[in-house]
Amino acid sequence: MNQIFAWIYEKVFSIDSPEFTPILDILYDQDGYVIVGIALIFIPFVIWSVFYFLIQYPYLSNLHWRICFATQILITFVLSWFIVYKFVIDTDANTPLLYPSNEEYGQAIRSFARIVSRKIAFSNILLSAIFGYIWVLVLRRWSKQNIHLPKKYI
Amino acid sequence: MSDKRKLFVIGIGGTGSRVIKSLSLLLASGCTLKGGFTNIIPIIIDPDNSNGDLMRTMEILNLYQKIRINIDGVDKGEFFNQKIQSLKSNNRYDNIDFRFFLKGVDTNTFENYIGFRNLNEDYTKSTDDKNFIRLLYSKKNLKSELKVGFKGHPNMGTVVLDQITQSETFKYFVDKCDKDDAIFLINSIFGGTGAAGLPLLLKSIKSQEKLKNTKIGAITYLPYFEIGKKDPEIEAADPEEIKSNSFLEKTKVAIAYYNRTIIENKELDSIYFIGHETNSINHEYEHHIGANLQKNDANFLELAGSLAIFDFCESPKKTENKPLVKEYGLDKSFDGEIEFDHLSKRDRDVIERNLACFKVFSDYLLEEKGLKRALGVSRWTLDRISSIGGPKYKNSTLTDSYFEGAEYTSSVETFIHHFRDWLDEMRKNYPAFAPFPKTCNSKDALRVLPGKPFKGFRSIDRENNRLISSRKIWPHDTTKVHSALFRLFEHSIRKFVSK
Repeated sequence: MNQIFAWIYEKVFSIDSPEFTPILDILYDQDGYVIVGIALIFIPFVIWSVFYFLIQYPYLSNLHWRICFATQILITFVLSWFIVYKFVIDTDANTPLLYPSNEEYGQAIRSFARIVSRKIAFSNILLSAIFGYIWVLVLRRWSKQNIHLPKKYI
Repeated sequence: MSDKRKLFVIGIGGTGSRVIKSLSLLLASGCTLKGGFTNIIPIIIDPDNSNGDLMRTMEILNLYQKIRINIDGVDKGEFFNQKIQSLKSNNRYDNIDFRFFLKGVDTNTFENYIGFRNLNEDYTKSTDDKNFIRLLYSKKNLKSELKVGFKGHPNMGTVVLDQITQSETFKYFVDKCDKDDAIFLINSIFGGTGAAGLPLLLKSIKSQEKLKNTKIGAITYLPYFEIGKKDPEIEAADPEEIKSNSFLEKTKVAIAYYNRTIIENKELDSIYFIGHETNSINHEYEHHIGANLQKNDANFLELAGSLAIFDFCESPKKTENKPLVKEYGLDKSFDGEIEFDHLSKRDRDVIERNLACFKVFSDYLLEEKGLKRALGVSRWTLDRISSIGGPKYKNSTLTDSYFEGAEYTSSVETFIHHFRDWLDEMRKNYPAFAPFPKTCNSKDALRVLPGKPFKGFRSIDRENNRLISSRKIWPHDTTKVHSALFRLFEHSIRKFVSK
């Protein structure tokens, strides 16, 4: 799993940088990619389960579906940014790496760490949309109230 | 005994029509006759063919048939579960009239009908005598147009209605009536058509060898409403017109006659009497001599009268040699309005649950925040759902096109308007029957159901969404266009009724 997610983010979304490999190694070694990946799959699942099974309001429309879709993307974005930020920047264990004796390198690596969290979060917007859509296709089949949503798109 | 017995309900005059109307609306709501009576055959006898009450009842009966024929497999206790047939129809809706047509009443005056002009003035020179007829009928009687009925004169009614027994339709009726079937007659004792018709019909039925042992019941209405007074000048010029103050006198005379004949001669198994002190201060009916203007508001007593039919069907055929005489009464006295609490437990069991369910059904379909809110939004009103795969039954047939189509608007919608009008009229009439709140609030519309669940139309939509693709609704014969609608609401509404 770790390898798969590492490959997706580093190669497919090109966040890899030979200069700052130690930052990505932290994510890889501490299973950061898996946690981000699970969040990516789990958040849409929870949100669409709530939408299709827990909400019993019988008058939901495409607008509600779109709001739910946007919420899912926003939560995934924020949460994945937060996870990566916690792993890479906001931890005492990484202080030696982020604040080396070479101040110029230190600035560059801190800047890269912030870019990594943003890039992974933005990548997750797309991934979350894809996974969300898959969950919609799977879950709505068993929904009693909202099997018809979204209308027209599917 | 056959479990497919027929019940012939013969309504005589305006009251007869209105009781048959009440009966058909109760049957639509799911009330079920016991005793194995599955087919109800209403027959209306009224010379006033364009009478407003008659026309309305006819429309309701036709709509009932039209709706029922389009529902697939209804069970006991469900909406429209009993079959209403016209005398000449077989098992399908063919728009045959429920009326018993009387010949020679459309254009004739009474004197033409009896051939008064051809009679002799001088009895010494002939076997007939105009003067003898003048003893029995006033000038006004003789000049009366029969197309508006007998205007409270049973002495005219007996002559005209006598043709029934000679008619082809009567022969057909005798032929259709099997030994397990039953006959129930409805009349008012204080009018013209009804008062004359009951003894005459009973005599004719009893004279048929085939019908000698048929179970027969009747309900006779004592005065229960007053007719509004006309302008004093017109009244003075026309003293023989129907007047409320003659109702009691006519009733006394008729009851005495019924006692001497019908009851004494044991011509029926059960006879029910029903009436109510009239009160012109509270309410009086507009005075119309007939035709389409004679369209009286529904009255609780007509509903109570139709309950007598349920009682009649339930009771076994009498074994002792005396007709059972019953009088309608409430369990509790009421102050202002009659509610379900005032009815006897038996009557309540017959109607409360069913009327409440049908009331919710009609409110949902007609109110702004009912069907209109769900249509095109809630899943149970949408099709094209099977495109995601899965069985076709996930698609609903109850879409915009169904609810906008003529099949729905001209039958179901019109019928539920009649049902609503009926409830509204009974609420406004005297005595007022008001078992439900006057206005419907979409948020707690289901509080009218027994158990008073604090739920609104949203709960119905939610339940409909759950049920629309369930095996309770499907599969059904899709050529019967109303099956899905009635099956769906039958299950969704009754789910909220406390057991």
